[in-house]
Amino acid sequence: MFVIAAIVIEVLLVSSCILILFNLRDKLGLAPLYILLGCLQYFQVNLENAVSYKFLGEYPIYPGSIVLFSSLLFAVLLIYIYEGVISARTLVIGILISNLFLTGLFEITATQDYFIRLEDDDINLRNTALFNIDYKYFIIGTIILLLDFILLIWVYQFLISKIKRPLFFLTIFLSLWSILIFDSLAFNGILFYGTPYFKVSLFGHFIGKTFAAGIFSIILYVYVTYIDKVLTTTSFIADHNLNIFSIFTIRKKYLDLKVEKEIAEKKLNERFETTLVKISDGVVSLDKNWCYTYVNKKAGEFLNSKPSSLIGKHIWTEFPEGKGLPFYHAYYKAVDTQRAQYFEEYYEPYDKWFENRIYPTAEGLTIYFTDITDKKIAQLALMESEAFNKGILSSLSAHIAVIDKTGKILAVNKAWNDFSLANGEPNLARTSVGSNYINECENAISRGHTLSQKVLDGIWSVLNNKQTSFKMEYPCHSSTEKRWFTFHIEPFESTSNKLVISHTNVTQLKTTEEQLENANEKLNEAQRLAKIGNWEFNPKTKEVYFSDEMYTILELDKGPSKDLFERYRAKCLPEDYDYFNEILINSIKNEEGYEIGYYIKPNDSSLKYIHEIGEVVLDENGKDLILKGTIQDFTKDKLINEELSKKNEELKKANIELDRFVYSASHDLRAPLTSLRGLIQIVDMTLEVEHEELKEPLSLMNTTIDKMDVFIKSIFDYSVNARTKISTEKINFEELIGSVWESLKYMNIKYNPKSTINITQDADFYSDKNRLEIILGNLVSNAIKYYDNNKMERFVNITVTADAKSANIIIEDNGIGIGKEHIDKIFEMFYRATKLSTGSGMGMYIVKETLDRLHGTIEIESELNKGSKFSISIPNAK
Amino acid sequence: MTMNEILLIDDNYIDNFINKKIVAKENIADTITVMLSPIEALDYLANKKDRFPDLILLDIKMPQMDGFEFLIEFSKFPEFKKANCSIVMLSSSQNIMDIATAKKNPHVIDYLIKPLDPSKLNDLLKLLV
Repeated sequence: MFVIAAIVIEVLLVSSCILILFNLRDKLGLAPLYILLGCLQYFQVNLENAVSYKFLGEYPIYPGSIVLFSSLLFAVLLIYIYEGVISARTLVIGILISNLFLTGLFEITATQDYFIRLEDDDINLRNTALFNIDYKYFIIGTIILLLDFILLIWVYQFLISKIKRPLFFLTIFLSLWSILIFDSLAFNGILFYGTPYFKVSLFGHFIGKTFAAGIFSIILYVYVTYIDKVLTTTSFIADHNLNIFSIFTIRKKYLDLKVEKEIAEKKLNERFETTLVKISDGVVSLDKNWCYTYVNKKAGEFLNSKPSSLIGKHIWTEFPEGKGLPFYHAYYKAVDTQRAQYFEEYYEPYDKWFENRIYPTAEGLTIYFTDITDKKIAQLALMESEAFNKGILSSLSAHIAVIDKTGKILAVNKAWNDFSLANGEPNLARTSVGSNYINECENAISRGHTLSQKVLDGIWSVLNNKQTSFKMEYPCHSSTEKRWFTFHIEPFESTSNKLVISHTNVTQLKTTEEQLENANEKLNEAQRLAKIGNWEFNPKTKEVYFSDEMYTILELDKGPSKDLFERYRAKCLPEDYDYFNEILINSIKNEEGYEIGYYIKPNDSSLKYIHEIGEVVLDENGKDLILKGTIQDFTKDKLINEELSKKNEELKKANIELDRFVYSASHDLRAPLTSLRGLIQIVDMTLEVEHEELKEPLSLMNTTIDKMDVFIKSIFDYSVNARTKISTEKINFEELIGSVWESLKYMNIKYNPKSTINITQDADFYSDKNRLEIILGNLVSNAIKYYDNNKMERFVNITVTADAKSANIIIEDNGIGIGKEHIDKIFEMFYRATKLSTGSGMGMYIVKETLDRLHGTIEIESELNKGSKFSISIPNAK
Repeated sequence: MTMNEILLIDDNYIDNFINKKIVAKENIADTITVMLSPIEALDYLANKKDRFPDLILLDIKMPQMDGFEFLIEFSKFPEFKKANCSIVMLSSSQNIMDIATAKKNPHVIDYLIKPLDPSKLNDLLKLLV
């Protein structure tokens, strides 16, 4: 009985110790439990030689050993269930190590004792050894123990995945029991197989260990189920899916996990560091002594120092210039009040704006500062743009106000107030912000201001959404000047009920408009007077524009311009259509203007003659070629022209007739004279000697005939000069003088003066050849005719000097000369300076007349009995 | 020298009379033929079997056909017929145009202004030689 009680006490003691230590694992850790279990193991090893209890008097049971051994398994299982495979394995190893270590230690101690006693000659050496271990037992036991632990976890893991939860006790029991039985088999098999002791020892082990398995299973089950209550509260006790070999493999996973965790932590740290380093904010931490504990890269940049060089330095030693600045005060304020501080400042040394956030921390201060220069610039720009808008509003000449739906004036611009001030409202009470515009309008209406009614109607129509906007032009003349305004109402925003009203001075526009209208009217007037109309025509679209006068000239009704072209064509004569089309096509093709005249039939009874000028231009869009032009009513001019050309025709005819007449007359007059001369000659030839006295009258007859001949020639020359147009041609003086000389040959002049001809010509000379011949012919024939009988040597010199400007011709003779009294008169018609003259008195007159026609001049130097010198000058007609 | 034949073409009877007298007096041609109009003269020339006259004295201003028109018609005669035939204009016109036109004609060798006189005729004969 005592034996059983002792065993029960031992079981309870050991198991409760284990469970208490296990329960306290949160506070103490598992180390005490491990140490306890190591001790238990060591103790158990040393109990191998303890006394056995003979069950049924035959089978040896070692209760102490069994209890301790079972409790070890129990603990391993407990740890495995609760703490997992790692802890279980640690425990197993711990148990083994402490077992080995303690065993070794005690062996050494025992050996020391042994030698000490040997020196003391203690004879009972062997018997006194308290802990004398049988190494065979110990090593085999230890190996089997290791196997037991491993098997226990295998078996448990195997069973837990096969056996259902309500049978948890069975799982525990089978685990423990199978291991204990295995242990028994292994232990006894190795140590006692083949000995007679084997069978009884084995059986004893079976009995004892089965009991032990049952008891510890019960304790474990009770603990799990009823004391710790994890079985009912958690989903399950151990991981179902854990591999049964996890006791080996879990290690690798564990190490991997550990590495992974380290990497993850490192990465996290790095990321945190990078974040701090890379963020655009500068981050600085200060301890309570104002020394830097952290400076990120950005802050280093802002502070112009390496972050690492700042750590540990005193801020105000490093940056003494910061003392007294706003941030200095803010830092102190943050420390003093323990409240975060926020402010923006412009830091001049860097030309930058900073946003500072200062947080008091347990260690001191953490300061974030951000470069907000760009933001600040944008903000300033915004402010400027607001000021700009305001400036624009106030600089606008339009008077602008915003009113709400009741008519209350909410805002006005400068021009609005200025206008009120300038127009007799010094305090702005009636018109500026706060006053009511609608009320003012009503007041004005009651004063008979009709315009205000229109304004009010406009406001209501926009307010009631009848109109989206309202616009009106009105005169507002002051005493000194004429003014016009436009009044404009627009909703302030499409959704709000506010209105923007504006008055704009449009006097200048209006004046310009009036001037334009005036100018237009004048143009129309001018067109009407000149009977000119202007038009535009697009040949592609057949679109036509006619000015007012066009309608008048064409006698068209001012109807719609749709069929205007057809209506215009209807007024034209059908026989002209082809011609018109051709002109149209050609002018568009060649991009060339045209000028035509044609008749139209504006009504049934009359015709008009139209002069049309057209030109080709690009239209306003620069795409199509269009025609633009004018027509002018030329009917009157046409009639005059026709009359004129008829008269001209008649004149031409008359001239031709006169021409023919003069020619015929000169011939017909001269022909009888020559016949007469011939007859006189015949008579002279055949005259008998006895009729000598007839010679004299015959000679006189010849002279008379000559005189008449010269006269007829003069008339002919005169008519040639007066009648014919000047025709310019290049003059060859040599040829000209030659032909003059030639013609004189036929004049029946019977002597031959010595003549010299000198021609100096620098440039081509142009003049009327026929007239030059008349002039030279007369002058040269005079020079020949009026020779001086008293002079033996007679000469006629002709000198011509011609250049680009004029020709000077000098005809000089040593003839009879002209008396001074006659020189001025020789150009008169029928004037004869000498009684010797056989002429008609026409020659020099004709010379002068002809020279006048050529814009030439003549000078005479003459002395009686000495000779004459005629100098003529004729401009080059080139 | 003496010529085979001289043809005088002038519508004016008096002028023909004078010219014939002068030519006859100078005794330079075997035959003096007188025609009162160019048409007549053309007919005469066209029907003429033997050679053309050595000299034709031609007036300009004549009715129906004038001297210049005669020259155009004359130019149509075959070359061999008119080979030895020289034409001299004999007119009362001193008009430069007439003189110029006449001198341009290849058949015309000279332009004489009426009245014809022995000295003019002799000068002409010198030209013909």
